[in-house]
Amino acid sequence: MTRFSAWNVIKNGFNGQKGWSRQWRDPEPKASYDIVIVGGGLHGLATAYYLAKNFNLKNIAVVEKGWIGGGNAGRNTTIIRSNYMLKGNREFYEASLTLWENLSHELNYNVMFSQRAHIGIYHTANALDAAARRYNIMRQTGSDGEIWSRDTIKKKIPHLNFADDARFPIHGALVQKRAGTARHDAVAWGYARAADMLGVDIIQQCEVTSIKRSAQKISSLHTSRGEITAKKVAFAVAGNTSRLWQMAELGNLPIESHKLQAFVTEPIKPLLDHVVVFGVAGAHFYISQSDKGGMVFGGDIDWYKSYAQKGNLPIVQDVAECALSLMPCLGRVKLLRHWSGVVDMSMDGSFFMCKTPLDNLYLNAGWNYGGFKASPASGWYFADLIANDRPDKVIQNHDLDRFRRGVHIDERGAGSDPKLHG
Amino acid sequence: MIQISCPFCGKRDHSEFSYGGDGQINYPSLDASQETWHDAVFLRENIYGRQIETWQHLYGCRSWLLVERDTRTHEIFSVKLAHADWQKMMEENR
Amino acid sequence: MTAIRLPRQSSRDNQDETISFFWNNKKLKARKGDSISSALLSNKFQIIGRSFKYHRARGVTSAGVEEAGALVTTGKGAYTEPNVRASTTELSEGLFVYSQNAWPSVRFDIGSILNLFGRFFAAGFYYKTFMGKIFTGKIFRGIPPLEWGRGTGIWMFFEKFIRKAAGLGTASRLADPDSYEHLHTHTDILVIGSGPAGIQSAIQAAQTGKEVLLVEQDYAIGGTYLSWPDKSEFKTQISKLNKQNITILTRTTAFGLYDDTTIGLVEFICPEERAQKPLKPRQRFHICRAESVILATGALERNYAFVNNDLPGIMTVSSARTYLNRYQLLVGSNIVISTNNDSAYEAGLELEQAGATVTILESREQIGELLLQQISGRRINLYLGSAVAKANHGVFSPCVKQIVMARKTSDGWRQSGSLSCDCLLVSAGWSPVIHLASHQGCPIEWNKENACFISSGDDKSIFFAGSAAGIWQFEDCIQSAPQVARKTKKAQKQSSIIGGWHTDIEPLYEICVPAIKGKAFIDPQHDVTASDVRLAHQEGFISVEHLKRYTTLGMATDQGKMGNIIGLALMADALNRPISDVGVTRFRPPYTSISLGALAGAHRQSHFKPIRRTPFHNWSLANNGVMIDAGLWHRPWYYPKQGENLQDAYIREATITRRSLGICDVSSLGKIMIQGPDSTIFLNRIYTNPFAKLAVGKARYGIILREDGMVFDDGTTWRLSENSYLMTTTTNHAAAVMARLEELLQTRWPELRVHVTSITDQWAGCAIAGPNSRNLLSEIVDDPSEISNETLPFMGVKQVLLQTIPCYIARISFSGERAFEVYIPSDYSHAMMQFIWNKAQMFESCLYGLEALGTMRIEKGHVTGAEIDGRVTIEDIGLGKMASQNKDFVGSALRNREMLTSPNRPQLVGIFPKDKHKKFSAGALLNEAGKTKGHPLGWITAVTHSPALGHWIALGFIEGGLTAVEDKHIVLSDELRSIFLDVEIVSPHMYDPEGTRLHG
Repeated sequence: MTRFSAWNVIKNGFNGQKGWSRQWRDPEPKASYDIVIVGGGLHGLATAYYLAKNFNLKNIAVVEKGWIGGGNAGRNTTIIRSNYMLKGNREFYEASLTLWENLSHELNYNVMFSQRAHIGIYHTANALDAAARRYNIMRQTGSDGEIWSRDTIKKKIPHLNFADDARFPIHGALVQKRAGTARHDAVAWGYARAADMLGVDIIQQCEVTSIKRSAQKISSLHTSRGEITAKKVAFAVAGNTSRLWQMAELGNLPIESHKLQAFVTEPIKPLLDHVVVFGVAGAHFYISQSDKGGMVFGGDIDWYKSYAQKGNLPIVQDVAECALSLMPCLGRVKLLRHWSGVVDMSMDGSFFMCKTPLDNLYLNAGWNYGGFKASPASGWYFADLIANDRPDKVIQNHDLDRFRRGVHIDERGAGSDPKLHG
Repeated sequence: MIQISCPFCGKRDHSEFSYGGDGQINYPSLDASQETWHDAVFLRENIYGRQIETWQHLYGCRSWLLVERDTRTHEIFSVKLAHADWQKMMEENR
Repeated sequence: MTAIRLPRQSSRDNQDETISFFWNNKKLKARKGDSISSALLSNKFQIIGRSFKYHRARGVTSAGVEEAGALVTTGKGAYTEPNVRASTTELSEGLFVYSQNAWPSVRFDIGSILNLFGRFFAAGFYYKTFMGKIFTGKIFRGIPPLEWGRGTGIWMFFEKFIRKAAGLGTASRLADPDSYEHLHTHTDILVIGSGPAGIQSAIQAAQTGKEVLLVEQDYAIGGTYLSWPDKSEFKTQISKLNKQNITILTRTTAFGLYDDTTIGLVEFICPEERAQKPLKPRQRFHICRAESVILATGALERNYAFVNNDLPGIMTVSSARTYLNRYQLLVGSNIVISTNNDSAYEAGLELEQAGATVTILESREQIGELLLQQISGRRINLYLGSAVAKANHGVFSPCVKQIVMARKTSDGWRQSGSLSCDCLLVSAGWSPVIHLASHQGCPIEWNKENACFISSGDDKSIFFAGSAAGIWQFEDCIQSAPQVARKTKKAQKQSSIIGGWHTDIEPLYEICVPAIKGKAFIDPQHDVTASDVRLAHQEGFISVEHLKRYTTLGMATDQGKMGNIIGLALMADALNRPISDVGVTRFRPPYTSISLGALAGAHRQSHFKPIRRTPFHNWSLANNGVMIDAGLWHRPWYYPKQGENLQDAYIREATITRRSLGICDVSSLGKIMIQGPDSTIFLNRIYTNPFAKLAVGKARYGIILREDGMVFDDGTTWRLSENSYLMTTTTNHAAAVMARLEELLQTRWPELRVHVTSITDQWAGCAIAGPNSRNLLSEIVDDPSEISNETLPFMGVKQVLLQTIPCYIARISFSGERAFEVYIPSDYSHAMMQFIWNKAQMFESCLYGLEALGTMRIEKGHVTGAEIDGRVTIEDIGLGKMASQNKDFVGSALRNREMLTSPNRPQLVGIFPKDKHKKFSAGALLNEAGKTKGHPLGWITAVTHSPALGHWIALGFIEGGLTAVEDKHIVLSDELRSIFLDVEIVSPHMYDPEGTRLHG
């Protein structure tokens, strides 16, 4: 495998790019593995990588029904931040951000993490103060965060909506400067390449069609590419978790599948250097500009449950209105493409990473909106859970039984209705 | 735009409605056990395919409806009033 | 290529109207009816734009939406629109057109130096470098190949330059000054496309009595008809069309097909019309619901990959035909046509007839007699088994000047000489426009015989007609118009023969000849080359999805209309598999880009979200009220006297209210009538506290939980009669509580005979608070004895007459003073308030707003949304006693879970600063002294300066509540605002804890 470096880019420029080889192998599935991870998205691939890297495990496969990174890995708006405040979430997302900061180096793959700052806009003093609690907790637990006045925001981004007739005048902002965006596809490929180099088999076009189990264990997975037995099985299939769970005859989960739309405009010259977000009076919106120049944005989920990766007009209109209310100059900028992905919405808006009723099955699910930014820590802690067969302290409350105990990790306070955690 | 045929108001855009949730959940009585309530409030079958779900015609007659819809395609097969007696009256008077 | 303007042929057209426009600020003339492309071509401009990555010169490549080269910026200042397709944009008088992505000019672009280093910028090169950190300071060590260390520094340094080089046009930073409209449209049949098949489909559908809407994206109706020299057939069809009752919208793009045959249409208003009527919107967004949609969307002609296939002067064959017959523009005088199918020959003949020398390179080794006959005797050279291996530009011009030919041999394609030319036209097959069907997930399959993807709709409501269905012959296209069955509203598919070439098309995706090197583009807009696809294959990115993402193929402004199939074909070739195995990615809306302004419509600035105003709104404004956003509401915030700021005002308002009298608008509280014989049972299930024995004429404060046991909402409910109650809710949750009550009644407890009605808007409310409140009321009610302490004690409710108007008065208090809430029918609110306020002048009195309301409630320890944030239990806010042990209610089962009953949970407390002069803010944290790192013990939810206590006070939560921290040294930390204080944790009831002021 050719190492990625500026030197090799130049060398291959001269030799007609002949030196690059496959970024990951295309192996035939073996009949048995020590660990099989179902789901070749960011979380599955990262888990495989950290299992191999941190625990020196060898006999690992990732099975993916389509092509790696083809689900929400390639459909999100690429925002990375750690502005979570509740115990467990706070540590987890901070760990993730820290991993992100060195990820390109770690994987020898430029994932283009650009720490262009995440600016949360607030429209009243009360709303800003209430959110200040979150950023104070971040500061007190070793993260970064600052508060900006209206004047500071105006100085930094004068073309936001500072007009007199703005429906919701900008009052101030809470800012995380270490936050930013990354190239989502590169993260999937980078983890795949790095995991592959450590001997992980990445098996694409391999769909789990049924699950053979005993009372206490999964004995084997029937796939479209044959039967695979595994000592340990891990699910990382957000969007389709319930389907696989029911395939294993495990009943119901605290998860609903909803669809979330994302949007990109035609490429334009740099207009916005930061990630800007607001939520007010039922509106919810986030926007950044990609390196290619497209304005990338999104808003609420489509409210109704869906497994269809297609959006509908009400949310399209909604986000366009939000876009113009934040940046009135976008009126003549054109929408290039909108698409949608299926997300696991959980009952409190937080994820699950835990052991399961079966001895050799581990679950990673329920990422709501938060899956992309979580990828590195998800891989890190999930690998730890699988390897050591016990949850780290950070994720000990992210289990399926937490609602029985009365633990709600509810960052928004929206309650036990999945659609409200958008 | 999904079109939902409200029994009172006729075919309307889904943006006039608000999605409730899984209509097949059997909510227990108030005096039921914590465990029973846990399952009803927190667990979901999360059906891949046809499911009965609740919607409210929020910007219309405000009826709560039971809608049979395919979660893979958004195709709707039937719409009924959630209030069984009202639904029966509608059917009898049709 | 130097295009030649020809005179118009028909007499009607002879009244040539000239219009002028500006190209890079130079004034030019063109004909009315011109597109920007035809206008620029007729003015001999060939270099229109610069490419995305390599900044190569690009010219006009088409006459349609598939345009890959001629992207321009139109307008100036706030009217600037970047990335406009010159090929489809109608020229209007005085239009400013600018080239983009070039500096200093489109002819001499410094950025084109990147082209020289193109060998280093293969697909995905940026994934392989720019890793590590950077030394900020004088010594800069991040230059590749000196990458070192960790972090994101190097990438962020280079990213700045990459971002500047990327992007295409520049958007204005000024607000879009134009307006946009939304329309809701319903029709039986929507026909998309007004070419032969579309017009025929519309006529047939209308003939059966259906309501038909025909939309055309172009500014002229006719589609392919417009590109033909003979207009007789077109005229016949148009006259038939006009006889039918069909709504026709031109300049209207059907951009997306959504669920239940909802189609998004964006209509561009004719610039001429807008010039005369400036208040017209720029665009209209139609949300169209149709029973059936007929996709007569045509097909797009493809290019193929050969070296320098992007030079200005190279375009599709059909576009040359369009320029000739629609715009009277002969695109070259020495034209080479390269084709693999029959469609190019008619164009060749017409171009020859118009005076050009034409050479046809036919990639097939044999063509049918019919085609041979057509060209015999004409000045057309035909080379069979030939194609283009490379295009060369001139020494001083980047435009095509010569082509290197390739000949098919048993060994593959070989170089075979060269031809000079001033224009190269290419036709490598046709791709039906199936995008809209794909939006809805209709199956798409590869049709090998016709070398294109075909969809046949869904057989229910999505149908195809004409070349969009892969039907090539005119007569067949007409035949393919779906029949609308008389009895059903839906259309039915006609069985049509797909294809129809005289001589089979022979796939042609790339000509690659040994020894000829250079860039052969498959997606010219994103500068994706054939070798990029091969590199993707080499590196294992073999699925379509990976190919697309790794090379960015098909992700430019044309969304792969030109290049996707070539990319697929090249990948299939590399994999040695058929194209059908490689698959196709799903098309996503919009079909062509649409402005965000159109989607947002009128919902902008002050109309972004509807403002809710209370019935007292104008009265408050007239009385110097300052409004604040509270959700969608505008509520009075404070009423400043001259020279007062917010703090001065609220302190005065709270002081006067506690001392004498204050009046506050509380109309935004949710008000729900609950009526019916089972109302009491219903309320007893909803509220945590008992309601079964609430007497008529009494109010009770109640708490509603969510089913998961957390506090949902609070408010007072008044028993007006045996079977009717008035429930009040918080402003925030009014709508949610209403929907929740309806849900419970209709889905859970249908046996309860209860009806709920929201009367929030119908009744205005004001709080009259302070020691003089009863004195004021005595002045305004008809019978003062009705409001004495005996007849209307604390929590009493009465219906009284105010000036003959029946109103409700309840003796409830949020301020902690003796207070009343008066509810008045909204229609009378203004007059009534005027009346009350006039009488209030007899006392020391004030109007108070949300801020003073907040002050008094904080002093009293009353909770609002700041505390009830969806994460608290009834015990957390100190109201555990309100949870009945003797009944079951919503949330009673789950509120008893282990962690919800833990004594360590954060609980509501009051907070005083030790140094009484210190000020602080909500959002600050509470820690034990010396333990200011890690998760805090608590936090502040609300802060005010208390006039009653004379210093800043706060409400907040702390783990374990007051008793747990009694002997601890607690500090307040607000790192964000650098405020650190010693604080004292006190009871949340900081003022008049016994509630003596309420009574009497």
